[in-house]
Amino acid sequence: MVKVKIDGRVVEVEPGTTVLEAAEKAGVEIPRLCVVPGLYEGSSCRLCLVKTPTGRLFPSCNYRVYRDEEFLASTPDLWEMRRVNFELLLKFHRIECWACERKSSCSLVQLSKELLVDGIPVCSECPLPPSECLLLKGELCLGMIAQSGCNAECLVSGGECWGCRGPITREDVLERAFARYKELGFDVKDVVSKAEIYWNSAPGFATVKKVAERVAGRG
Amino acid sequence: MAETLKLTIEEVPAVAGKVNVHIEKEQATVRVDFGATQDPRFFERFLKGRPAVYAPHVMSRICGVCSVVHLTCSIEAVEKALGVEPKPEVKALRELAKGFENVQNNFVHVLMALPDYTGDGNVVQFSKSHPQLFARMMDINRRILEAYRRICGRFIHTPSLGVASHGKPITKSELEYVGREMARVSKELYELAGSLAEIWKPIAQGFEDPAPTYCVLKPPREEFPMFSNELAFSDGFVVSAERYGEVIEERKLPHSNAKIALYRGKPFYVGSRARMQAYFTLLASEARELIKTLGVDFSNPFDNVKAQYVEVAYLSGLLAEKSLELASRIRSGVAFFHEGTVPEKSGEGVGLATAPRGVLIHHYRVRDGKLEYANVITPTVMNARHIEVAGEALVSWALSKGIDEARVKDLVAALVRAYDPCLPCAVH
Repeated sequence: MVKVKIDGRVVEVEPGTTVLEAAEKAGVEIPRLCVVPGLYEGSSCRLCLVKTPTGRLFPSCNYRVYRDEEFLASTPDLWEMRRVNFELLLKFHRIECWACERKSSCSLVQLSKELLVDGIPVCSECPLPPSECLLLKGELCLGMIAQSGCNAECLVSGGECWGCRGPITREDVLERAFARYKELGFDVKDVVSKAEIYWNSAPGFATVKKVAERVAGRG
Repeated sequence: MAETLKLTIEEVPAVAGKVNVHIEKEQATVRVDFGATQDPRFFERFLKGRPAVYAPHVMSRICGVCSVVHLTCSIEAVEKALGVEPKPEVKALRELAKGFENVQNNFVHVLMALPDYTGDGNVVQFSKSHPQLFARMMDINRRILEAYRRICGRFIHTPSLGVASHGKPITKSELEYVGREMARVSKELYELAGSLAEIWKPIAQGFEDPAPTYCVLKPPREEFPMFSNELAFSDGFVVSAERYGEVIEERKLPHSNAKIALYRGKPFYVGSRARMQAYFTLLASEARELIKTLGVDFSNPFDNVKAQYVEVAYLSGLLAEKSLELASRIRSGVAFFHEGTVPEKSGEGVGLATAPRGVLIHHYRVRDGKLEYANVITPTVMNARHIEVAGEALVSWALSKGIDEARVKDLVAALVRAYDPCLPCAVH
């Protein structure tokens, strides 16, 4: 048995155990996306980064311990690096939570909340399934272009989203959202006018207006 | 008794919002200025040109304490302007929501104002000297909020209430739970009255309201009204909602950012004290009994708080009945009252609602679905001039009784608190 110290917590594990498994045993939470025990151990998401006290970085899912060692798993710089890695991953994800059947069990949404990443709409937290979407009933809901994180309070209570937490600023998401509004027969101008009530002085509103104009101009 | 006297209360304590009160006495005349010093927010202006259906959502933001009344009153006004008739169940649910707000809000106000009457001075002190009573009252408040959550969801700026719709699905079992819970709450409130009457001492006994005109909603049917189409004044005058402007006049005074409202040029008051007098015959016998137990003196403005307690106890019982009645109308399982779009019409509508602190008026003019004109008269605006007049009489009365200046200041602050625990809605 070897002793592993993670964030000050000591556990004894079999030699050859990964740091991730040791951390789990020690009760230290390390985020991850790609590891599926017994199926895939490829260390490709790089969200489970940990470091030694000397500052050496490596993915915890791929590092096995054979002697007594110490690791840090929750320093601010580690979280910052995880955030950047996650943003890079998310860059290639086609965010369309409003049409996604998996949204309630989505680990991307969970992580984006923990890591405070921009670009996930309120739809991701909406309790209504895509087939019951308020937009289909003709109600102008701003969920598709509004920043998530509120657990969709208003939608849970049966109201529509007004985007009180501010706009998403990722242009590709906005573009798809506005295209969807248009597809459902909403005037893009009405959407912007409703968004104005909360976002008139919000930092990302200029981007929203720019994308709205671009989508409206496509005819 | 001093010939001249100048007193200022900077930011009346234990109320939300900034209000300064200036008291001036020269020879025999006393002047009390009630000045709201916070900045106006121009709610009536910035909705112009926007869809009328946005009005309820935005107008509810006038006040976070009594958001439901602004929301529902605004919905009523928009429905009248657009000519939309909600389903009877939607209307019933809205009345329930409104009733809940009156109960919760007035109950918290009683709790906040009570230390003035028990001599504790503030709520923290009150909670220390009467720990069991305080814990029980907090528990009742929590249960009222929980019951509201079951029917409408979030209490502050409830998203489920909308024009001709009720967004939250309702189940029969939840309505029945709410009915049973509110019946228990009502029973407890009646029981609590005995121990409250012991510590609830009268303030300024013998002081009489100098302007006894009041205004309430005229009940459309024989029960305590939440919404109505008519205003009734204590002199017997009744006016329809659309013609409120003929008798109620709003004025801007230089010393305050808030407007004041006058009835034919004279001050009038609104609130539980007015309602309990006007609806006395509609009350249950227990509530009438409670008025005697607490010794409510309707001619004393300080007894508004006692009247509120009576109203809370009575309304809890009424809400229990209403919830159970509504439950019996729903067959089983879940009922949806979520409606879709609203027509883009033109029209004018005035919504009247029973606010926790009085009568609320929302007046909208709509053209092609867009808001063209909005006017809101809040209970605090209606009471503002009455507080000044009552304050003036109170200061003269207190000085003639030989009460010292520090106590006069306390009395005036307590008077403001007896009317209203929060004043930002006066500046909207």
